[in-house]
Amino acid sequence: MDVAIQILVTGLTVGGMYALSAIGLSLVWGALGMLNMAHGVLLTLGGYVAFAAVTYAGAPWPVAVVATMGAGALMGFFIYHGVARVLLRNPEFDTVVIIATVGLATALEHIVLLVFGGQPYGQPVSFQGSLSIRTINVPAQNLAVMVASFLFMMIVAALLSKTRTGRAIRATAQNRELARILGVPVERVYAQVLAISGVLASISGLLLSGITMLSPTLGDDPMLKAFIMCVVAGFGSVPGAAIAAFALALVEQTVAFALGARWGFPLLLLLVIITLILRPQGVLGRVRAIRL
Amino acid sequence: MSEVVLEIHDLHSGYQSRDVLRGISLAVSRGELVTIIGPNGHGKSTLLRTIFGLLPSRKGRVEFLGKPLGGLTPEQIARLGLTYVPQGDALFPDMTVRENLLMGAYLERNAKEALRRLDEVCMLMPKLSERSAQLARCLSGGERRMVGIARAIMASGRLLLIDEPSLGLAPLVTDSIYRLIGRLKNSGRTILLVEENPARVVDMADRLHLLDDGLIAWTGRGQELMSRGELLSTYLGG
Repeated sequence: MDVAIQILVTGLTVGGMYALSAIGLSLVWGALGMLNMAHGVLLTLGGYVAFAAVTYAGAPWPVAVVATMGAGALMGFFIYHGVARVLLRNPEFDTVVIIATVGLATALEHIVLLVFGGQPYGQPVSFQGSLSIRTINVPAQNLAVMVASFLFMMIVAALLSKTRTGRAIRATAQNRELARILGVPVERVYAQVLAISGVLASISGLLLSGITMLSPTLGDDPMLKAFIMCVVAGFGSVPGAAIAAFALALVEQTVAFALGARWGFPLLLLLVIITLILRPQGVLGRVRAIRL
Repeated sequence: MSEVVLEIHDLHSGYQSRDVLRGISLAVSRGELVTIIGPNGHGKSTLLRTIFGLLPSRKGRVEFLGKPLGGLTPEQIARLGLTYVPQGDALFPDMTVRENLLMGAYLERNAKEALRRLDEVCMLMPKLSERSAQLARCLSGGERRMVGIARAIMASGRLLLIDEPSLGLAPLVTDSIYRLIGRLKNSGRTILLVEENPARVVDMADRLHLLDDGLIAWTGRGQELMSRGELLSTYLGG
């Protein structure tokens, strides 16, 4: 029983962080058809912005969190206006934007390396202490991650389903031309989606760095996992990305506990391969008919 | 004389190297239902897409309430008060019927006004009210077309462009779609309609333009067209 609670707590913590990241990636894919390879570095930047706000500017943690979210949104806007918008008219947009964002990610990662150095830092915006459940000690940071990821997922769900902006985002994702016909400024929607994605990524990076350590490659592993989760769920399915993130995190943690940490990721990949053989469009994705 | 809502002069447009429209001129006045008829592939839908800025014009001009539309994006044209119902099942498949309808009033920032229009539309089409919570992709072809027109009504625009509303529908469903269009005309809406089957619109349209190979081959009233057997047999297979 205690083992199950331990796996559940770790799975939900890791799943929450993956989910925030995967939702952002999925939103961008759904609205723009863009695979943002710089998503991982947004996690890294989120962690470092909070670190810098507290360490160098002496800001209290709520200010650091707001600064992190602001930086994430700004980076999202920058990725749209500086990279995606320029390439949108290119008929090979799907491919060139991958290359462009890989380049951007590499450049940003090196800037972080130049500014902060390669040595790992502890994240000052994190919670100390723990909560005891039976014989299990749940670190306060894990609880904070679970609460924060749940909260942000609820905010995104409410934004997408209850607001005019959210409806415009979903409309653009489902039928871009029709959205334009109805007066939706799709270019503004693209920028908003990348900004939301940037906020989610930066918060995810902040939470992750509170559990691990800050380093210039902080976002690489979560980016890969978020990508896997989006593929399993079906790219563009936002609820699917969240469900896949929690499900795969729980599987990964269970396998890691039963067989050892080194088996977690390989078995995760095996699961993905099986899923894609059985359902190439992902578990919740739908096959798109393309007229040639 | 009533106000001219839409004026098109010598409009040329097409795809790649091919000119589909080769000099179209027509006008639609307030409260009129003007219909473009003609065989498939002769430029009817291209005309609506060009008016709405989805396809750039190559020559000529389009004016809406005296304002030139050349160079404007579809979003900007929608903001001016033009509403376009595209051909086929143009809906947001993973949104509910209610959300699809609310998207019609996207440009209305006042949420109360949008909901008032929604109530109005649901009173006009009670079936949509019953389907309100259903996903659009679960609707039948006829219901989808109804939602498309209802969504255009939600926009409360000054001119409705409707592209082949009966395409691919059973005759009974087509009848109900045209009853709805008739009610819209009677309520004073200005409509530019594209239809392949002239029999559907002869009694309703104020004027018909027969489009042949990108040019207007004939203009007149519906009954006049039905008495011109040579036009029907040459252009419309009747």
